[in-house]
Amino acid sequence: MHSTTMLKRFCVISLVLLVLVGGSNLAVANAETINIAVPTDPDSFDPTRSVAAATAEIAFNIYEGLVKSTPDGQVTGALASHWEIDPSLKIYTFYLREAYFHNGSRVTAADVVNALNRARDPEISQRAGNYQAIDSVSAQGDNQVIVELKEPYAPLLYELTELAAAVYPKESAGLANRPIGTGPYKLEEWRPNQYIKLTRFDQHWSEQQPFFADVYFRIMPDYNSAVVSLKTGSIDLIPRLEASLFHQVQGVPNLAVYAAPMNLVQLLAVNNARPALSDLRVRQAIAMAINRDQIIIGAAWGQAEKLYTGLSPAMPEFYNSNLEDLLPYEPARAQALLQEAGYANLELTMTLPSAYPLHVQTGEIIADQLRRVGINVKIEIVEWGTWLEKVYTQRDYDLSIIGLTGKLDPHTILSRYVSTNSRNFTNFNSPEFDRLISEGISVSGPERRSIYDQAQEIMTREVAGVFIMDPMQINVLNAQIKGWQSYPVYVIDVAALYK
Amino acid sequence: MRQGNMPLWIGVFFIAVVAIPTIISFFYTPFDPVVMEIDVRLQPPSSAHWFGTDQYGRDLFSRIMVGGQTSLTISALAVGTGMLIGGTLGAFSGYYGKRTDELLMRIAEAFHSFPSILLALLAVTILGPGQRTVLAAIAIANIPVFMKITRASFMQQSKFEYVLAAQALGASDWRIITRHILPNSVRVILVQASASFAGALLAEASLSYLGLGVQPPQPSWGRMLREVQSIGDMAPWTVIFPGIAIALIVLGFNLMADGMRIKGK
Repeated sequence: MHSTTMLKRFCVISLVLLVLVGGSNLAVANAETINIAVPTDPDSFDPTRSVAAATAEIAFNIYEGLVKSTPDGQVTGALASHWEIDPSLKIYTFYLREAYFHNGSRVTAADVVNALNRARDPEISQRAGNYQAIDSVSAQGDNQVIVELKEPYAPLLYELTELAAAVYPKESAGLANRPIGTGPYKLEEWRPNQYIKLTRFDQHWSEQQPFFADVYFRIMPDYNSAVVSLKTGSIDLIPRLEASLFHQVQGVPNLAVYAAPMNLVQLLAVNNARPALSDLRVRQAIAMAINRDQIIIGAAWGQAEKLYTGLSPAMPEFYNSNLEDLLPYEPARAQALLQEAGYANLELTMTLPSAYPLHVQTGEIIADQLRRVGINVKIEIVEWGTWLEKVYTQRDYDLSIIGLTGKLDPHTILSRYVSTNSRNFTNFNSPEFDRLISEGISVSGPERRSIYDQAQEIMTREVAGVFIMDPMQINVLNAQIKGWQSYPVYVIDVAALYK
Repeated sequence: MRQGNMPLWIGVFFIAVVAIPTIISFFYTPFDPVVMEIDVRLQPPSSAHWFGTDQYGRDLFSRIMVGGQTSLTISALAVGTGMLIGGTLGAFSGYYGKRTDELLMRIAEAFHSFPSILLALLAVTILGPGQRTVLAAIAIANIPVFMKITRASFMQQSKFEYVLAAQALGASDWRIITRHILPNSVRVILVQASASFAGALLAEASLSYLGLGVQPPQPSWGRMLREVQSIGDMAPWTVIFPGIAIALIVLGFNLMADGMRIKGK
């Protein structure tokens, strides 16, 4: 009898020890390892297949294109050391540097040509639409790539920084699970729903060794538990923390918080094709019923910048900052406009994506604000897949809230509101706007800026949507880790981090 | 009462504590439970706001009062429907027996073998989220429960001599079922109803917590908990009060069921 109790006790103790030892694997990890919490698995590491931003932020460390973006939103050389643009603005010549793939082979012009031709082939690439301006891509010798355009297309360099234009070896298959790039890190192991492990690539062309040898992207869908892990040290970095959890990390001594505008445009999408909403007065009434300050406090905990147009202030060269007073918050005028339009008792449905608490909360507050001017809003919260199908694809909705992620060039962002664009899910239709956008791609400098200023004014005045905020991206790090770089695009630059 | 049926009376007391404010809320609430006042968000309990305010500055006390309407109505309707359909089928099955019994019971068991939350999720996938879906899901989950309990009671009763006597006197089946057996089975059914009610309340709260029940801004206890899960440490009142409301009423119905069972023995 006594011996069985002893045996039991022994079993319990060894079990506890096992758990402790197993659990501390993370905590006593080697100094050159960094653990990063991310909410979901990537969709695919094949640059032609991936559509999720969650993939791009990891793949930024694995793949490179001819050029890449810098933290201040400019374009710098990656595989191309430099490039020339001929005076017609239609021929770009890229000069390749001596660079190697993760499999050891050297990057040749043929690899680049193959990757870019696949990227613009609608049969192969999910993002082929972004590269339709390209007429041909050809190699000259082993180290020069010539890209010829059909028309001058100012956003080209920015489009080439995207994951979709990444370069991989010509003879490669199965990139979805085994990516081969040229970036400072290579994929070592991917355990779905657990982690993605990257290791340092010693032959990177920059000859600069990143500090961390091993990088774990740990899949943690629940931010609450990620914060606990960060506090106990088993996680070193949480990029994009939810604003409602900000208070849990604020003022904690061993944590450092970096907040920067996300370059995300959150908008109240107003379906311009619905009968009541096709009346400009109704759309303007909706815009004037909205109090952005209250939304930013109530939904984003004050961690956001107000927006009045479809671009974010994170793009200072193009953001039109003079639109604040175009349709100001004036509920009385909103009510008058509704009366005038004959919609004193309007009923609308707002479809919200449950996967994004920020958008759901924003929607709840906006519904409350609209009710105050006499628009009765019924809220309908749906799954992400349903949202994509119903709102984005079929455009079968009245109102919705969504965030459109940042790009480096205004054309990429604004062209979606062109009446014929397949992504124009608010059904915005302004011939003047369409004309300005098509002019914008072939000019540069102050002239280009003035065109986009006008375009932004039109989309605000005619209410393509009501633009609400650019939420702050809250990044929390273990204070020992330095070198955090915020980018205006959706990436995590692990190579810049050090201890 | 004289023997001190404590569980029954404590249960009734708990139910009253939650149900009375809920009934009052049909006519009066201290504040509008839906209109937001962002300027007074997340205020701790005070004389103006007894339970404090939530993340949108809405009065938590008013919201809990009104939240009870949804929970109690859905649970009552769901258990009622389950009891009516399940009880009828169970009576039929237990009184007639044989093949009807076999068939009905196999179907009931098939339904019963599904975990009820899975059944509810299935219903939501097909019918979409909302009050009606939740009601249907809980009702369906309750049908086999009532079927079994009614059937057992009817099988037992129908062998008793008073039933045989009634049959010998030429009473119709309908008369025997409704006038003779049913009054004798009512107690077990009511005990089950009370227990089922507790389960239904909990199921409704769970589904709202998952975001599948009532859609905002209509308050519901489960949804209130979900919305504040990341701020519970800085505004504990937002979690504690809806939590207490759910715990009290579920415990109340469970205690009442226990009490009724004791009294029946």
